[in-house]
Amino acid sequence: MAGDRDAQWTMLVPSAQRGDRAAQTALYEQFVRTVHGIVLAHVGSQSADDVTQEVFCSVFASLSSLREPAAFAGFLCTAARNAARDQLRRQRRAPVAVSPDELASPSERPDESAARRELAERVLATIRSLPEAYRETLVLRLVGGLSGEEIAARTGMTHGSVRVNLTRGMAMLRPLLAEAGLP
Amino acid sequence: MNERDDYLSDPTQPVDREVAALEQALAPLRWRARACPEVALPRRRRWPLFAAAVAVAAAMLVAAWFLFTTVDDDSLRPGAAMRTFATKATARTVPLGDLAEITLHPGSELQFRHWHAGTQALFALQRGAISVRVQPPPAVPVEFFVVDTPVGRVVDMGCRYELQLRSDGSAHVLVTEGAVTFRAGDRTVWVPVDAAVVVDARGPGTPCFLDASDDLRKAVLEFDAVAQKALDLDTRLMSLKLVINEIASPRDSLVLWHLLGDPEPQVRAVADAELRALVGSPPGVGKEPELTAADWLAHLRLAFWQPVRGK
Repeated sequence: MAGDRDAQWTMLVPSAQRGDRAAQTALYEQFVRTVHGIVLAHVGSQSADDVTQEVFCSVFASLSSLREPAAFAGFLCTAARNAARDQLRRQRRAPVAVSPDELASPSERPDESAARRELAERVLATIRSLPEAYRETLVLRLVGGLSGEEIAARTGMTHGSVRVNLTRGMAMLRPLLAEAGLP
Repeated sequence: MNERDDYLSDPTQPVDREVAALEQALAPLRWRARACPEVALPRRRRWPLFAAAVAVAAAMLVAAWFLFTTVDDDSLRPGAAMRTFATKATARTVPLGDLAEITLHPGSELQFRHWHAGTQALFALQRGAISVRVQPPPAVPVEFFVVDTPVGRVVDMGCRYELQLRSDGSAHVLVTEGAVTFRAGDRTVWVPVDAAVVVDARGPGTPCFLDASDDLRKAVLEFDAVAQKALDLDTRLMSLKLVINEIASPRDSLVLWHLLGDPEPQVRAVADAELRALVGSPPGVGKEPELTAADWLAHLRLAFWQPVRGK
């Protein structure tokens, strides 16, 4: 159950605050897809991986200021949104350049990989045109692979709100994808 | 919710092709495993003599403080012992770490019962009134901050609210941000921002928004009174009709939503039909949705129960 796992991560926070590397790694593994999804929903894919790592660096460095372990998820999600917005401002000033080699997966031919990547970028751009609540929830589900229950536990929303965001987000996304000729 | 939505919300359910195609298309953007970054925490300075001198000075200051001043420490922390806060002529604010603030109005008494880290902070209002401000979720999880009253339990769902015990023994809740639930006996009511409810020994009334018409509020009071007196079904249905006649705004869906939980099936059926006629089904659900009260709640909160702008 997601609830049991949540109880476990709450217990890891005090150790992580003391700098325990194993506890930090366990929290990282629990939350990295959530942070990545939130960042991706705001800034796009080119810089999402680096921003995700930066979020964990800054959160672990300032974790001692957190008094309530259960507030860790909210602390982290807020840090992710703030970091993503900062990155967005930086990107507007200096757009990120990405080389084709960086995009290719070793097992694919560069042209196949580039085509798949381009399709993914176009779908993501369409999702990013939705209101924030829908786009974040949809990215966490469709890219991060989190279930509605997991999204609720990690973002503080109720499970019902997540379901509504997913359903309504998909309803808004469908005509936009069709209009753009996307799957 | 239909099958598509089941898979959308829960990937262990039977696969929906459209959603799976999107997952496949977005696969190149998935997180590629990287190691957890190593973070150098601020180094502790190793100045034992300096530290010892500071400790001695601090101890002397603390001793002087206790000798020459009266301490009035309102701070609470996880695991703190039970204690009672009381006010006479002036208000007093009690912080719950950085998670919440409770302001006791003059002439009030509030007992702190426990703070279990990550699980629950429990208070009991014994007299007077309090204003509560809880950090919104996800900073503080919903249902973490709880206040008991003699007539039931107020559970924070991420908000600010006012709670008052009146001389007739009833409790009055007004929510100014977010929402609370008020649980009394076997009934729980949902009180969103800009709505209020009165709870007495017979149980919670039905919440109404402050901008509901006077006629609707009167009709709801009458309906609650009839329900609490356990009168016959015909009388209840007649008082229900009076409520329905006064439903005018989509925000009045707050009243209808509460009637979906009525123990009487005929009342529930009328409430369901009126709710669909008033606000329609949530967009994105199938043609024949079997909506639960929780589904309706999620939809109504977002669509109709938000704060009214420009008030």
